[in-house]
Amino acid sequence: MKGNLLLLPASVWFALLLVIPLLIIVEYSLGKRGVIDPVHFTWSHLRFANYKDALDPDRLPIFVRSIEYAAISTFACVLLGFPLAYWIARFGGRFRNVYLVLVVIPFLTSYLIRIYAWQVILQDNGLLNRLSGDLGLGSHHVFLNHAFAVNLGLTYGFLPFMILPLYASIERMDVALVEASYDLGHGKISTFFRVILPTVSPGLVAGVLLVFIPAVGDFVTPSLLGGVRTQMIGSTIADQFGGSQNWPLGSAMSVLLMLFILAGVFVYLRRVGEEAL
Amino acid sequence: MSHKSALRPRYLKLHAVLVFAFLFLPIGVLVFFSFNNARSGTDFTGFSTKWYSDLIHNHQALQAFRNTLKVAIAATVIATVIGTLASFALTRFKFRGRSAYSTLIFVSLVMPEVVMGVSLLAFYANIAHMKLGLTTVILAHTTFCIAFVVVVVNARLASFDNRLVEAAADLGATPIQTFLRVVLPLAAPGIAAGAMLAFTISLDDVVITFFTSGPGSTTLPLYIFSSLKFGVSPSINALSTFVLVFSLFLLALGGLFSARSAKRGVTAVDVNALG
Amino acid sequence: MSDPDRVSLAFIWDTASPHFSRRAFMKTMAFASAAGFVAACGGSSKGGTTSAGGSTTPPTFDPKPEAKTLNFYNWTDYIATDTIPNFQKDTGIKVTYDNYSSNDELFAKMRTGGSGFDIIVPTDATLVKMKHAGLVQPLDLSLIPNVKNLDPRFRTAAYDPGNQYSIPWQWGTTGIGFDKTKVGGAVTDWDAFNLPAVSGKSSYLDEARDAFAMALFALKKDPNTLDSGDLDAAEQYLIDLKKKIQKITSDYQDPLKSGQLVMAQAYSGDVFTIQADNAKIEYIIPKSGALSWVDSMAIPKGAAHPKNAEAFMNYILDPKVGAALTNFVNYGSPNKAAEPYINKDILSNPLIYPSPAELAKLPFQKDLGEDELAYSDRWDKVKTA
Repeated sequence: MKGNLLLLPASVWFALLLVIPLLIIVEYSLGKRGVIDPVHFTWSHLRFANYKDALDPDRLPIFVRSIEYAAISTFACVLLGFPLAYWIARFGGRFRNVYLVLVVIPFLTSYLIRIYAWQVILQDNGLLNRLSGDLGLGSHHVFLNHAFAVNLGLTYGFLPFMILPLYASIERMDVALVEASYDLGHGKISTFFRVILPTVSPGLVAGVLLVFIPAVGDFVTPSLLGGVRTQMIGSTIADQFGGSQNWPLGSAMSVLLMLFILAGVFVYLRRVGEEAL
Repeated sequence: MSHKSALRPRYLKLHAVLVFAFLFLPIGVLVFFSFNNARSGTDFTGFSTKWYSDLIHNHQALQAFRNTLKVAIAATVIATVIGTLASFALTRFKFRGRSAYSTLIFVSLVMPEVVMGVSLLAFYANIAHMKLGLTTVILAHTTFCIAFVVVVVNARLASFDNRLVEAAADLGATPIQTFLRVVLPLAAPGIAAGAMLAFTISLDDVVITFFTSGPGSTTLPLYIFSSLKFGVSPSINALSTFVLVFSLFLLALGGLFSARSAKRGVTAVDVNALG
Repeated sequence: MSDPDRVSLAFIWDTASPHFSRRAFMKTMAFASAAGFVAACGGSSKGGTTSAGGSTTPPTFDPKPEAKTLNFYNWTDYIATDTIPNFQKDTGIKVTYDNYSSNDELFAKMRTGGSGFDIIVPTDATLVKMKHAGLVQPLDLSLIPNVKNLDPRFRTAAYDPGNQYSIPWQWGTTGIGFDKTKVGGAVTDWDAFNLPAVSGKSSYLDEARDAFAMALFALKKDPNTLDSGDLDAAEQYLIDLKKKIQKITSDYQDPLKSGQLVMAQAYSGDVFTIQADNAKIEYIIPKSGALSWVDSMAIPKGAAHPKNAEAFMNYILDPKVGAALTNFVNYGSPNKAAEPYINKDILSNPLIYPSPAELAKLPFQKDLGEDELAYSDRWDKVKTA
């Protein structure tokens, strides 16, 4: 009963602002497209063909690429974020909150400006090429509008989404357990896998989800830092609502994307044993 | 004992410095170019503070900035409250339909921005008959912020020890007292982290804001996005620098916050000891 | 044959539509019914004439005076700094000014639901679609006496004959912008994208019809063709060209200025604005032809302040105001009476004011109605390839 009461605000909110829009999208995905009017929906002519079109094998490389980029940037976020979160939580001392806010401060400037700054860094005559030239590594590397820039942009953009949940769970780790593990003769690696990892795993799982899921569907990053060979599924869907004028197809692709990611998330959660999420 | 730690503080510290450098590198670039003489983001032609004085007259940018703050603060507060309550329910009670909830939360994370924007606009215009403005933007932002709060707070509350609550009850605490003095302090770092995430994503959103905004509710990202054609104007860099300095100032005040949350931590430990 | 009010009703809440859906929340799915209505009109849009333009329905008048406000939704950096302040001073009408950056965005937003804006500035092709969908309302030309100042070319144009729905803002062409020091050859036509020095350093527009027009001009075909053989060839042209460019984008201005791009399919005025910062950048109208376009002010259906909007349109058509606008944004002015006040270097620039012979090679985009899907589908293939 109490649980229901706590859930009431979220229930009302989601019912109105998430479930209804979701139904609208499902409705779109079963309609007929048009130029003058984007969707023509009738109950008597549900068009499941949109779903068949959405599974067009020509689009497979774009989908695979989205998963690949999201996976790479999630992995990079773990590599960069875990040690940082661990350091802040265990050795940050009384400045822990200050360090934590420092992680977020770059994100108080607009995303677009940060991405734009990355363009300046990565462009052909940009800072990175000049630095590389000064180091004798050549100054004609191509970064911008290629895969490297997109992956970097995604990693940069989602890093706090990894660090903050990791911090929240490392912070409550019992240091005594770590020391007990050493006292019992376990080595560094063994202690990491047997004591540290299990305690922080809820945070790690949350971080992986918060980075990977939005990254798969992202479209602002690939459109600003990517080029002709880095299109991601989010851009393809956005195109359907723009130049390609196929709202039903865009909706069907979104529904399938959501189903696919949800299935993946549930398999993942089951494997890592996180029921609470 | 720390010298035996699996993750040595010295290497960790070096790593932390490097990650912070990565995080602040583009920020350095934008601060640098905010003092550029020319209206260019790529060639530094000379030092000038004219963009800062120009900023005062750029009513559109300032208005957009005010809108952004209003939206982000409102959406963060609402989403944090709603999300935290939902997270308590999800982590502490077993009930039917719980997995439906998780599904909805992940749906809001995975829904492509364009799709969420279009469908919310269809909802406002054709079902709710709402006038587009700051309210509709705040409602939209809150919707996608809730999920981030829930996931982060859940991570903190996972394997929450219910014995603490029972102990508090045994000691005669009312449910509200228990909540305020036991559960909330334990969850606080998670709630703070969730709120920070919610705040940053609200601050950044372009696509959903475009569809849900009306006359006079343009936010800063929207303003910047529509002026991106000719590159980010140095006055936007100046504004960002100003925001940055202002937040660093707030951070200095944050020492106070640290002290207070440390106190709360003590409360939790006390109850822990009692349990 | 068209009744704009009916379209609008259908758009908002059409219970009379044959496609009226049964579920309460579904019946509000506006476009379903409006699409039914348009379909029932029987492909009225074929052949490039504007069917809705023939409407004689007078605008509806609000009995009570309008509040002194005007919500103006325009492209970014597309207005002189003093245009709005002077209008506010003259009329006491307070203007709220917001920006968008693409026709697709504007159209997607307008047709999903009301927006609260009183003036929008779509490009001709988008304006025509909005007319068909009943998203814009007819103007009361008696409140816009300055319409007589317009160049006759814009009073009779096929996208809106007689200015029933729109007052043109600025016009221009879609050609090539390039850095003359870096392209390694003469740039006269669309085939310049094949110059070796340009490879991997160019872009074309992220707009289906503009990109296809480039391909069709390059192939010496009609830029508004519906011939599927020609369209297939154009599709292949764009897919092949995609391998040689860096990006499909409409945000080419800054990369062109900084040297990240050395050549881009571009809108005329944008390039002239870049030129002010980087004199090495030039613009050409390709020999085999290019599209003209015109951005026009229109009033969305159901706008709260149509009379203020019309007052603003009339104000923009004032010769001096119109000239100030053009002197600031570097596009061509549709305002003939403004020409004496327009800077001589703009007026004498054949790239902004082409000769009549040149103009003949610069057609507007034709309204293809539902047949435009032939372009959309192929555009999707180009983007996916």
